[in-house]
Amino acid sequence: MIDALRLEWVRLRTVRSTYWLIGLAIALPAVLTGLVGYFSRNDELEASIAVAFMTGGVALFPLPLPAVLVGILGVLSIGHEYRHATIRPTLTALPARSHLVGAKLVVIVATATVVGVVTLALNYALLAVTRGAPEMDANARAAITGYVVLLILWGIVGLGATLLTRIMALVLPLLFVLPLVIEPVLSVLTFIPALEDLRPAARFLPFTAGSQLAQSLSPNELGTADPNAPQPLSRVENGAVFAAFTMLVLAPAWLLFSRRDA
Amino acid sequence: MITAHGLGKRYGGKVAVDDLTFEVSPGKVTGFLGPNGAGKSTTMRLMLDLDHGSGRTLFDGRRYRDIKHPMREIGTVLEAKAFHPTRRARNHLRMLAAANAVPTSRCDDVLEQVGLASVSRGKPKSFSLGMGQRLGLAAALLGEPHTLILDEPANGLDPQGIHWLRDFLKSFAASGRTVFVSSHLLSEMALMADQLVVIGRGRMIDSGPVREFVSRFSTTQVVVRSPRLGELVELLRPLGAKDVPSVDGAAVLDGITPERVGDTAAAHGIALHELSTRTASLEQAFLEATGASSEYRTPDQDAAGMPADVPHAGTAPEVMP
Repeated sequence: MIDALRLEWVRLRTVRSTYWLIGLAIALPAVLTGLVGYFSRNDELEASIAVAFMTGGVALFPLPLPAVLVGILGVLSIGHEYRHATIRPTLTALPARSHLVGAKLVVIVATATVVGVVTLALNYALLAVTRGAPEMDANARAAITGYVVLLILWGIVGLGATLLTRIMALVLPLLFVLPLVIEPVLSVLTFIPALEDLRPAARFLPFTAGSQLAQSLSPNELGTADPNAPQPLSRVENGAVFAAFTMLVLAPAWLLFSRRDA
Repeated sequence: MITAHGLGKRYGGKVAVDDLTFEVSPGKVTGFLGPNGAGKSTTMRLMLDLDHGSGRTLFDGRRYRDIKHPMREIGTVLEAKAFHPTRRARNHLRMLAAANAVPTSRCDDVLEQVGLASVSRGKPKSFSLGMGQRLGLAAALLGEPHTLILDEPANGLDPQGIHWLRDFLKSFAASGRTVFVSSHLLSEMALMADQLVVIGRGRMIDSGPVREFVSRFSTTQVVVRSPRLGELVELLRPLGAKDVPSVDGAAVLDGITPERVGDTAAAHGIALHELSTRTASLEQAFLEATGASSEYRTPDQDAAGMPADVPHAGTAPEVMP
């Protein structure tokens, strides 16, 4: 396994896309946080609002861009192997296929964790410099942890979906279209009276649920409180939904990878 | 020593490789021949456990997938330009070396060895096919292996490159190591290979020393040139001579010895301007052996009984030295 980790580590560090994807994933929330910090320098800033921006707005906007960028890193970790036909040299260098997938998984999880931690530390420092650091309550700390978990799961989804399909050109658009278009449309459809019974099920849309991992604002703060709406899932439940989806993608992909031709 | 036993592969209902069994011995260059679509590349992938099929290949008694650091024992080139276009050549090798506990300094050594030292920090997207092959070969040599498995390594190489490759592989084998190399360049194989494994439509056609293959799948022909050629040929026909399309006014005869041709000419007072024999080249033997096994054929080739992908019109057969 250590050989596989060495290969994957060199692979990750020797392509340019790694650097610009990680750079963007860290820079986007930093810009947002910097702007919020600067323009709120004379106002109160609650921890829940500060965290919403420190995490790049992943729980506020339909497209959780920093998470998508980590997802793309996951896509490229195996997608490049198929796109540039390096899968055969890789597997002749390292015939243990489960070790290769395991190493890719470990490296993408480690990378996503580092991206998440660096993003949050940088943005906390930015707030401290521009307006003074906010006091983090339990809810804010949970959202921060949720953000790191969200990045990790997105990275695994990208890796798993590409391992499953072997078609990078298919998975990359899906990472944008699913959270940005498909899930919001399905969600809105449940407001049609005929489909109203499906409304509780809309809570289990995986990408929507995943984004709630980093949610620091309550429905009241967001202005989305609806007494007729089904009881929202807790942070842990949302995480479990997205994690289950991630495993549903990864498990068959891993199995297929070990059984099919290179 | 490589031992392949019962290798087989199907794609749906189509048989790509059918029960192939052969051995590749150390100390020799073993050529792997077959027309396009014969299953050479699939066979190599099966040998390396990249594709799933039936049968098994043992490298000194072990499956490829069971070897801890395979690049330190077996070097492979399966396709040209199998690398990320913007990962520098040296980094591509570093990545593979990392998986096999090969020191990074070997990357520079092999780049030097294949003539790519000057572009070691270059991005392969600007590499020619020949440079890509050299980088693939550098990767194969990275772990100082005792066995090389190369799929069409001469593709895209310039004449100097082909010459270099031939010399390299021959000296590699001469040092007691094993080379298994596929190629459609028959003239190249004739100069390089000691042994052959010949397949057609996934099936074994022949395996053994090159010279045995040539003699088994070809006949020695008699070339006759005479001012009374037509008359002489008519006299030889009842003796079993079959003339094949002639070149430059000479008759090329099958099924008869030069002694009988000379005796017949002398008995009838026919002057001879040339009486020589011609042994078939590897190419001729290959055409003979694989003629019915070509996957892709044109109507012209069917009419002429020629395999696919081999020029035939006006091509003078090569004479073996």
